[in-house]
Amino acid sequence: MILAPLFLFAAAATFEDSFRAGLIALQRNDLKTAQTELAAASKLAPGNGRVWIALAQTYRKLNEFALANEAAAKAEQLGAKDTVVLTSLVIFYNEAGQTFRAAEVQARYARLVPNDTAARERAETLYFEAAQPLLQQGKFSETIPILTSASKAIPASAQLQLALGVACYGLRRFDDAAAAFLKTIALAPEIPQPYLFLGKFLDQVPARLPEITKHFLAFQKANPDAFAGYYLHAKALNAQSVEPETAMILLRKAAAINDQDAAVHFELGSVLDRLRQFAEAASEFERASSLDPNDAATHYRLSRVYDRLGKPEAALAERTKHAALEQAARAAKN
Amino acid sequence: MKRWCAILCASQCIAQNPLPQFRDMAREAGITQVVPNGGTTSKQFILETTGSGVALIDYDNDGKPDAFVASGPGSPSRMYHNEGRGKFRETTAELGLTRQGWAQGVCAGDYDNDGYTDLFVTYWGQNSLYRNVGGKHFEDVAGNLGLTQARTRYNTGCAFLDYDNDGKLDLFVANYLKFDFDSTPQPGANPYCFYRGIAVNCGPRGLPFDRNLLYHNQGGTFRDVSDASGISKPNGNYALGVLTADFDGDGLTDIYVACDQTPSILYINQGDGTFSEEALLRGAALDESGKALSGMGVAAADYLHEGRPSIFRTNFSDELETMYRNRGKGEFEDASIEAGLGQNTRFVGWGCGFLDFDNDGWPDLLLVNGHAFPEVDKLNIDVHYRERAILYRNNKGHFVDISEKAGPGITTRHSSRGLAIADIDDDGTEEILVNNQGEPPSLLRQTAKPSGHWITLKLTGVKANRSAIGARVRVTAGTLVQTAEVRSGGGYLSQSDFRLHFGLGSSTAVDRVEITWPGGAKQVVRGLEADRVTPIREQ
Repeated sequence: MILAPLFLFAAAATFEDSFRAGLIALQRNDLKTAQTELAAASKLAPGNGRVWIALAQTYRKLNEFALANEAAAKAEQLGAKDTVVLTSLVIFYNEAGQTFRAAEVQARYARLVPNDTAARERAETLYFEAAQPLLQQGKFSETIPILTSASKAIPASAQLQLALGVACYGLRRFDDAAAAFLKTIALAPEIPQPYLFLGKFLDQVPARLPEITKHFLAFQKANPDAFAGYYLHAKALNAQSVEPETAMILLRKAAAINDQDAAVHFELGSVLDRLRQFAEAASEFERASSLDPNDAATHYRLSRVYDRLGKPEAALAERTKHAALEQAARAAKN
Repeated sequence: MKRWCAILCASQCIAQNPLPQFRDMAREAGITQVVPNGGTTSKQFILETTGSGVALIDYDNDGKPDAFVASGPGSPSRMYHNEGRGKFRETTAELGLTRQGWAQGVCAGDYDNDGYTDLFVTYWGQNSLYRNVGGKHFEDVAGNLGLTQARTRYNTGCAFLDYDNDGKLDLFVANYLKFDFDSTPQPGANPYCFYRGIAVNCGPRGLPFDRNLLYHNQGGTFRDVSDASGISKPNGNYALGVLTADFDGDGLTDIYVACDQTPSILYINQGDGTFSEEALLRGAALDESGKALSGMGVAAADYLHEGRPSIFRTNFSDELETMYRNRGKGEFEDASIEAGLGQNTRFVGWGCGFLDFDNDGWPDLLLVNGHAFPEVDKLNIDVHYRERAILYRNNKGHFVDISEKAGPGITTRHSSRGLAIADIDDDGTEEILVNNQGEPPSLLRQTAKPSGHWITLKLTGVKANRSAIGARVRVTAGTLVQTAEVRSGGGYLSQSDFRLHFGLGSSTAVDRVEITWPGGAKQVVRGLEADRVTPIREQ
């Protein structure tokens, strides 16, 4: 497959003879002949990127990987604007398991053919394929350079922005993560994941909260039947300690849609606690605790409201559960 | 004409509330010596990360606060005498302050009631109690007065306090953890020795806890009453900053200790020589989700004019700063977000203190920052070893971050630790001394005087301890009613001026000052003029 376009462009005279002979040999899998002919051709026309990519392919088949990579690098350098060389390089790098390099070359090719949507999509896919295994292994620091390069090459990809956000979140680079998720929202506001991720670390991006709140409100309005929209909007308000009454209404709507989510009840309990409605707060924390008995924070908040309601024994019981869960979490971490 | 008047009025309104501009004047002032604290590009041990504090105290009773800077090895801790007109002169050697070592914290108090402020300096190793001999010399009397420790301890924050109201200052000393160079693992040696994937010095997790200490002043010597008083009971806390105050309003001094990666401690004074640790019960140990944060520095103020000291604590990066609002009787709630403090999570905060930089009668808040690990700079993230300070303006109980517009004194990056506050030239604006790791200290000063009026009260105890530590003051000026307390230690391992500074806004006089001296005696002074330092002696 890689050789077909190259046949068409084999040059004249001695170079042509060697190049053609090399390509034919390569197609027949006569690798020694291919190497000899293509090496000769490369000496005759050292600035021809197409010879170098054919040579790279030959070396790879001969398991001469260092030479193959060297030849491919020359092809990349010499054929930077040659679509034939670039498409051949994509195949070479992909077959060699160098998916990120294949993506980089494919992106370069896509820039040369701006009307070819499929070329851009192929680059996006390759970038994602390069990053995904690293993301899954939690190798976030290795993933970020790939996805940063990817998002520069294909700035309109929501998928790549989302992946970049996840990688930054994994490394606790919260501001970068927020930036990536907000870009994702700008590109594809209908995708729920960036909203859900942002909702996980609102306390780490205080400066962005007003902007995030606007997006959460829009998400809520676009998804009136989803509890997540109301919940996230309320959570963003709570993170700024503003509009507690609005937050309470939103959370009650969320709970009416889905009564089985502990986080909604916890957040509602927190608002009621802040509004000093301790009995109602206790009910919500109790509900959250029944849905997720292993959440230490809920037990702590319950202990605090029980204290305020004059229930010291119940408070002590919750404090004990909180301490045990915290200790278990520390032990698991160690 | 009307239009011009309106423009003039608007410009005057703006001028009344301008943003402060802070500048670092340490160099011009003569405070120029570098403060070594271990490595500057890499720190092998946790001991290199925690030091050290500063103090602004008037050691020679000339009315002007002098500057003390605690230091790690490579330099003695230094004293700079306040010569007036913004100038300081180093007097370290002539005062006999020659000791070098891993100095950590500093707190002051006239423990022998001789009229001269003494200085206590904590160390990894034996602490020093510097008795002030007539304002001319300091002699280390720790060994003679019962303060020798049987083993090497990692002493950090400290405070003099009169916990039994007998007129003699006792001494509290926080201990961080058990540390020695030989047994502490090297960076990267175990999971506790990494930060975001890079090898850094180990701890505090993974290193053994130690216990805090209380020494009772027997009238000449000190006696270790840590066990008898219940102070040594908590055994699972990495203790750093110390703050004393009467948190529950019962007339007895309590002790709050900011703890790193573990619940903070609130010792409630039982009035019978014992303390009960009640931070968890009273809502001052954890954040509002029940997580123990990495507490470093700690300060108190009545930031809402409720007549009660609330607690502010600095924490690590990725954590909010904490404001524990005192709801009365020493019951606290985490009000950090409500107070406007949920703004900064990328800083590791250390020194902190309340000051009224605009003299509007509402205590503002300053904290200084700097990461524990210099290696963090290799990560190329938005967390840095050297960081700017954070200045919050108190807008009638709600804090607004004005750091970026508050001048180079605030925005210049350092890896700062302790800070102390005092009006060094009695002009009605408070200055701030900051200890910077591996650099000379900063002395932050406003470039223009704020428009608000002020009063500074210098209290002297007679039946109470001479330093008046523990005296609580309520100042009424027009509709402004403010409370504060004379305090030893506080912030991050540091000592601010004993004198209490109050902004008075537009009031040109103080209607009433009510002092509750340690022991409960009350004294009322009326009709004080503003814009001056006023001494008040216990009657």
